[in-house]
This record gives sequence, C-alpha cells and structure tokens, in this order.
Amino acid sequence: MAGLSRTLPWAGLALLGLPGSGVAAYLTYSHWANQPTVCGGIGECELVQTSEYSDIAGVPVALFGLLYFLAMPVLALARTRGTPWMLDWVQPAALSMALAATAFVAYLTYVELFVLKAICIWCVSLATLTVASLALTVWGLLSSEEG
Amino acid sequence: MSVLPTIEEEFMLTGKAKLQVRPIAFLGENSGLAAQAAECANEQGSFWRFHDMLYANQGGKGSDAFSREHLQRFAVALNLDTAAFASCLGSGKYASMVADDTNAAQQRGVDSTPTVFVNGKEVGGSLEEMRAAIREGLGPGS
Repeated sequence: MAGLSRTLPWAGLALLGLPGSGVAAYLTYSHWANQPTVCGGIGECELVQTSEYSDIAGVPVALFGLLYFLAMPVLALARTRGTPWMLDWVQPAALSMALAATAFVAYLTYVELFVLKAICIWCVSLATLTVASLALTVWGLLSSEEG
Repeated sequence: MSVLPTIEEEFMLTGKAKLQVRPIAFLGENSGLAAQAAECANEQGSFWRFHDMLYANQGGKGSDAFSREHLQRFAVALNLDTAAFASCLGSGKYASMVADDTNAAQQRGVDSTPTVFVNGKEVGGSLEEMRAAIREGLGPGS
C-alpha cells in the first residue's frame, strides 16, 4: 500500500497532462489561427482570448500551459520510472514548476475576474488542472518523505 | 482580412500603394458607436487591435455586443488609456465622420464589410483580385 500511495500522485500527475495539454493546445491554436473559441455560451472566451493579457510579446499564454502540461507528465514518469539520481532533481523541479504555474494562473484568473470582468471557461478549466497538478506534486513529495 | 498582411508586404511597405480604412455603420446605432470607438482606439495607435477585438466579439444585428459599456470593456481588455478612450467616445467627435463615410459608402452601393476599392473601383476580396487591381493601377512593369 505504501508503494501505491507513493506512485499514485505521480501517476495522477502524468494523467493530468492529457486534459491539460488538450485544453492548452486548443486555446493556443484558436489564438494563433485567429479562430473563434467555442465556449458553448458560457462566459466570454473571445473577450479573454483577444485581450492584451492573452499573450506575452506575441506568445499566447496558453502555449506556456501547453509546455507545462507536456513537461509535468515527463517529470512524473521520470519520478516513478527513472533512476535514483533523477529523484534529486525531478521532485524539486516539479514543485518549482507547479508553484510557478499556479501563481501564473492565479494572476490570470485575477485578471479575468477583476480586470476584464469576463470568464473563459477553458481558461478556468486550465487553472483548475494547474492547481490540481500542484496538489498532486505536493502529495507526491509528502508521500516520498513518509516512505 | 487575412489577405491584408500579404498586400501590405507587397505594396504598402514598398511604397507602391496606400491603405485607407473607413469604418462604416449600417447595423444600427451600436454599429456607429463601434466605428467611432475604432477611431478613438486609433488615437492610441490601436486601430487594428480594436478592429480584431470588435470582429471577434461581434453579435448579430441589433445585439448589444457593441454597446457603450462593452466598447469600454474592450478598451480595458486592450489595456488602452480608458479615460482618454471614454472621453473620446463620449464626445462623439467622430460621429459625423462615421456618418459621412457611411452615407458615401451607401451611395456607392456598399452594403457589406469589408468592401475594397482600388483606385475608386470596387474589387473582390480575394488576394488575387486585389493584387491584380493594384498592379493594373500601378501600370506596366509593376
């Protein structure tokens, strides 16, 4: 059971990469291709996606999300399958990235709620997945220490 | 407007042609307000960004997508000087210009946007049609 609880958070983190990278890839594509973002009538995705805050120097912020959700599963797999020397840097790297990403999505969510006063449901989903990834990373670290 | 970057590169940046944009309004009161707002954004060097914002967030005819409140939100979203923008829009300083351009366009039979004229002659919106019309206007060897 101890082995399972040590592996479970990292497996969850790896799986989180699927919806995370999918949503981020869609937002990146719609931004770059100048295509309408389909939101099913929930919120105002277009206002958010065409706003000044949707890119940094021409690079869509969603692309950072895509890179994050591609990198985290790699780290998670490295943690569970990698050699012992990997443990020295994989866990701190994952925690640093998760903290930075969570801070970034917190800022973007603040912008949505209090500056733009508009919500993009895809962006909220991505923010939720990012917070979940931080929670799984912390869980993974704690269970490692317990082991 | 996806042909514009190519036209810009081939003819405008080389000094062979100039582009004039005339925002017109024929979808109701808010449409006129949106055209004025684009001119106000132009004062801050953000005409095309505001244009893209309007295009992405347009509603149907008679919708409130371009209400004064929403236009102000677009200015916030583009990080414009919102006080200057509100003052400009509130002053109505571009109202007569938009009305004049709209009347002039209607007299020329324009009933959709974008409608493109090259040297006063209406041309289709495809890249090839625009390119051919501009080359014709520039004369042989262009």
